[in-house]
Amino acid sequence: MADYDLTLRMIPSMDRQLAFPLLEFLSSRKIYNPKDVLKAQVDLLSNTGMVDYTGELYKLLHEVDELPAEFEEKRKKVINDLLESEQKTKHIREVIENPEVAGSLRQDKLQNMKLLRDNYQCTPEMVLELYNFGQLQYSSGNYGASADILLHFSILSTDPELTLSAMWGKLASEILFGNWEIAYSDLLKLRETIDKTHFKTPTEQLQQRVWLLHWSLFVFFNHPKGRDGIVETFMMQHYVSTIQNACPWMLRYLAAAIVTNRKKRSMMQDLVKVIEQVAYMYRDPVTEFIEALYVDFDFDRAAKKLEECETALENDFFLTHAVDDFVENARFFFAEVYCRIHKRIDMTSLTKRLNMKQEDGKKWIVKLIRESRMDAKVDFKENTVIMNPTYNPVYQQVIERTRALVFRSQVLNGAIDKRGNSANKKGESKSKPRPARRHNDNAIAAQ
Amino acid sequence: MSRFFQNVDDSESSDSDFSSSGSEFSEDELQQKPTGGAGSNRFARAGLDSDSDSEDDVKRVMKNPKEKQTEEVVKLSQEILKAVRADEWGEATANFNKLEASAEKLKNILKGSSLPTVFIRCLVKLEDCTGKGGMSREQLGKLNAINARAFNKMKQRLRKSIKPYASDMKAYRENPVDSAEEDEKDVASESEDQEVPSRETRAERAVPAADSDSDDSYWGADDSDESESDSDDQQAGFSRWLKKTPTKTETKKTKKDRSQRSTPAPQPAAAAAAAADDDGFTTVGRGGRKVEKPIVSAESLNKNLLEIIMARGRKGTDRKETVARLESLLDVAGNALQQCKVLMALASAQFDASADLSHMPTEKWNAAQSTIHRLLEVLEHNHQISIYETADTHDDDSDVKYGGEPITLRGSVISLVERLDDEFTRSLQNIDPHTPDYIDRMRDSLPLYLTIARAQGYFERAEQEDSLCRIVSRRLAHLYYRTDQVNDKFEATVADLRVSAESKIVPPAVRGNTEATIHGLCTFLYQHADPLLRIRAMLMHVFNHALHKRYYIARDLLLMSHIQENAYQADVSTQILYNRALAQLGLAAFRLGKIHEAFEHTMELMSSGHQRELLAQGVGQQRMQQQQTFANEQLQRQRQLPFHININLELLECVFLTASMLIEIPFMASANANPEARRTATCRVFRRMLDFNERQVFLGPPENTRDHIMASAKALADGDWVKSRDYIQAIKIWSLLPDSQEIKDMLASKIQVEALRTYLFTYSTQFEAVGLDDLSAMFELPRNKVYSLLARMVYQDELQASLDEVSGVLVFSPANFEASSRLQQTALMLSNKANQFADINERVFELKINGGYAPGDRQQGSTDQSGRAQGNDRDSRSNFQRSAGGGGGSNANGRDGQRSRSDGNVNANGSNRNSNSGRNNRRGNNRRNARR
Repeated sequence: MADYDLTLRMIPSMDRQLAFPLLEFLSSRKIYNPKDVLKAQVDLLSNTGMVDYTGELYKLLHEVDELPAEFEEKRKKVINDLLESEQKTKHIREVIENPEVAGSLRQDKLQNMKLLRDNYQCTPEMVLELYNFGQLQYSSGNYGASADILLHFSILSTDPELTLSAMWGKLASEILFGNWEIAYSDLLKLRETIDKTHFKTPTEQLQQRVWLLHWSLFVFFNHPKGRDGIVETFMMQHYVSTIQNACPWMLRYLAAAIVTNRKKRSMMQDLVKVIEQVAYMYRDPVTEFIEALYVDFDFDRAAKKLEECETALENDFFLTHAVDDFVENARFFFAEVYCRIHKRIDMTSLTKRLNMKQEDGKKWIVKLIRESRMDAKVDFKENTVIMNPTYNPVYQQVIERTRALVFRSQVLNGAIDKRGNSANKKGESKSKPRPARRHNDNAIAAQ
Repeated sequence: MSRFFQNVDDSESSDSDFSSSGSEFSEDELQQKPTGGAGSNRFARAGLDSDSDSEDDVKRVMKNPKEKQTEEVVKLSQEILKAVRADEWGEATANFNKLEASAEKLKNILKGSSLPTVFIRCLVKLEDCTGKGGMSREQLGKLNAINARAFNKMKQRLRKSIKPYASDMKAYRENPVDSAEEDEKDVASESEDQEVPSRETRAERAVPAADSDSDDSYWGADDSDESESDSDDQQAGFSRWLKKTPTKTETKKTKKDRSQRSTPAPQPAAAAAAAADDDGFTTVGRGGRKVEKPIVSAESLNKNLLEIIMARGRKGTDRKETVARLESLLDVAGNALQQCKVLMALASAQFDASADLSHMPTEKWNAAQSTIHRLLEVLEHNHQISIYETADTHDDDSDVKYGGEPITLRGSVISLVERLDDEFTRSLQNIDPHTPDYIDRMRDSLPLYLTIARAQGYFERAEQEDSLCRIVSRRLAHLYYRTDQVNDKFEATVADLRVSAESKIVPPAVRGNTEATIHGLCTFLYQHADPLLRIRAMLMHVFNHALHKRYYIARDLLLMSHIQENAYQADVSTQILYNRALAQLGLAAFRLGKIHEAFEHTMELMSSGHQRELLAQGVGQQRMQQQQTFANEQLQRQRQLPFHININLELLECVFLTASMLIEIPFMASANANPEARRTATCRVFRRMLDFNERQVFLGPPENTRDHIMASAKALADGDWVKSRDYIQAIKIWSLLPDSQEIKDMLASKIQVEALRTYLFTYSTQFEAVGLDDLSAMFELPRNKVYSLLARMVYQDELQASLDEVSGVLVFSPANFEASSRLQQTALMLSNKANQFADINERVFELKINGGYAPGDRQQGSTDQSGRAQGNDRDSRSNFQRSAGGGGGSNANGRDGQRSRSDGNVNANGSNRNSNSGRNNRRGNNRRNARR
């Protein structure tokens, strides 16, 4: 059960608080020892500002009613920090929230900064404090506020590094706040920024991309248009190589997204290539299913892997809601490949392979044939499906190929005539008519 | 003709950097050169030979013509140079005629020795000016008619007359003296030098011929009196030579006299040269003969050492004696500091001693090795001593009382160790690898490796990062090409070393684990070394991974490092390493059964026909058209890798051909069955060999590897997989691969699969349906394997067929039978041709109107002969237009030709026009595509 769990691999590329939902999910699935998970949760939260919640979990973990004194200290400190920071940023927040100011802000950040300094007495230090305040808010779980503050910061800040960091913070806040629409656009903005920014080393950029891939899972699997977005993002050249180099396990999500999204069927061939390339370092039931189906054409193995997929996906935080969808679509792909290869199919074996009951299977197949408008017929007496593979007879091919020739030649001929006439009128070039005539001849010959 | 004379002159012109000091040096050098034997010991001769007088006579007679000619040559040369600078070619040619004549004469007089530098310089300058790139067409156009004609004449003349001086010119080019000042200096020293002989002879005569007890005495005397000024404590040792003071002082006086005379020369440069000369002279005398003095003590060691070091590299230093002297110094060296100093000097002297041999003799090498070893040992025991290249020298006597405080010495341990390593490689290059000598020599690689490991330890402790990187790279170079089993033995010995316990790069924890050791070394280099060493480390790491069948790791490392993109800009040895890594990667892929990968990795290398050169494993056959210069060949020889490092070329070829066979034969079969398939071979080399093999009238049983593979390929094409397998497995060279049986089995199963595919491709037109069970029986493959193979072929449209699950057969579609009909195939082909024809017409039309394509840009698509002809036609036309200027832009725009015509006239700017046409060009393509 724990074999296919990716949580451990993913946590390093996640924010503390983003990892928390994953752990919570794990504790509900009971794959691991609940004590261990609980302990991990406490450890995870111990560095955040969510002291109360951590305390509760601590009580649960150690089965005590009293908290150690350090909790109280920490709590005080967090509140102090918050208050202090709030005080410091009060002025600037008021200024920014003033609609007049918001209206007069421009694209140019330096200009904005100057404006704020001249008209509203805001210093760069105050802007920086905004960042800290946002961080504190986020740390104590006040995601709505932190998102707002960090947005303001990223508009005002002239430091590209901190801006990027603020953008990350904003994305995390939106994700945890569940504001998928905004998170989606933030994600795209962040992606663009990462692609454009010139990082000191390629490794740094790779690191950023890895994070983006991981964080984006939250958005993509919750946003209604996420299935399209994930395929688009993950199949971008940069991100494909990022996946190959740094986090091959992301292939599970990519594969699942492509399988569940029939519109993106054309991506399947690319996906197969990527899966084949990284097969030596990463495999799980999902990639193995695709490998068995599209690389080895081993239908028995594919069917077996499909079964495994179900259990694996159920235990995956992101995909657990999509299991049925996945299985249904996987069957579809399975059947598609199967039909394309075979002329006559035994329905019993197909339904068995698809892991369905006899009757359901028959219905399913008929439905499939109807939906996909395949040229196939069901023979209930023999209990088979007979495919009529279309092929292109040679004479048809010859007709198709030569059909356009006459038209093309006529167009050409007309063009040459026009050209020749105008050239003659101009009387400018003496060498023109000769080649033109030759083309006439050619064109006629071609006809 | 006197040899003596030639020598004087020889030194003069060849050692232009020594300028006036040449005469003495050349003499001393000749004492050692075996060739110079006849005229070698001037002094000995002067003393002993009775013909010294006659020699003088000769000289007196010959002096005038020589001088005259030299002067003339010099004068003319200078005039030519002046004329060339002013572009006065008429004058230059006239002078050149004269110069040629007088140079000829001078050459006769000098007999073989080289001519004045200024003459050579003149020739070089002329060649530069007249040769390629010396003068552009435009520049030439600027000259007036007479000048231009003269220039051309000169060019032709020069080519002929330059030949006899080619070698001198080359020497000059390598060491050019190019300022006008040098010129004059040359002249000055020239004149000065003509005095030298007479002066020398005077000096000789001043030394009584009776000074005959030995040369040594003479030299010794000479020596001591010079050293008088700087060392008092040595006087005791010299006392017995002092008896000869009269003669000695006289010589001294003459010499002093001379140097004084030369000092007030007008040019400061000449003065400096003279001063250097004086200095140089004295030390030479010392370095050469001082060995005779046995009394060296710890106190005087520094002085002795300094003298020897000063003498190093001077001509006339007897290197063997230097070594002996240093050894004796080593015996008296009192403490670690002195030992270090002496050992460093000794090691470099040992290397020097055999510098002019092709490689160091083994015993000499061993001596040097033990010296370095001892040095490292001393350093290991005395952590406070560190040696830097940039440190101050310690020449004072204080080190006698050296008490162990931290101190830095000037020197370079890394260069000594590197030299040792290089000498080892050189000796291996020179020993025939098939003799026991080679194996004997190979035994020394272990001590060498130990030395390197120790040096690494030292650098690590001394924290000399630069040297450390270099030494780590060397160590890696010793490890990377061997398998772990061999390396384990090496590493085990190293592990016993004291230093290895402290190493951070290779922590003691990984001791004995070669993979981890190599990883540690490489990681260190990745983090610290400069780009070149890093790339090399990476390539060696790749090679090592590949050698151990860690194909994926090796490949990923290679891909992620982006070496491929800039490997062709790297230096030659890195390129060679890159090629080797690639070849090894190919072998690794093959061993894992990744036929396609193996093919891709080795293809570029194997189809070049220069495998030997590319891998630096022997010089390939000389081609007639590609005449390599001697120097070039020499360089190539230097790059050769020792035999034991080589990748077996035959094995590589075998792997490549086998992979090609497995790819190419099914491909050929499918191309035959399918008229639409592209017919170009993926692997030309293999196809060519196969064609050649088929054209043979008589074919014997296969003998060599290639024969076997060809026979196997033919059997495979016939679908006879058993025979094919047997041929392949009969190849003996597989045994060179570590797991040969596995590989043979892998190949057998690959052959089964490919035979099945070939069979289906070949006979698809003959069958209506094939039973899966029959196929499975025929190729001895399990049924489900056959099934998945067929499924794959069907899915990828390789076969026009589909499977019938119920009856277990593969049903071919009717398209196959149609394709088998000759008529229908021809009809298809005709329709294709017609399409191509229409395409070409359209393209040509667009070209005529759109014009302005870059030549060659458009030919990419045209396969038809007529298309190419048209293209050429067009290209030439556009060229014409371009050179005509003005109206070139008129063709730039297609549809709106009218407008562009005026544009073209307004826009005199050529580049602008080009970019215009480029844009239109693209647009034209788009339009065409859209229409399709």
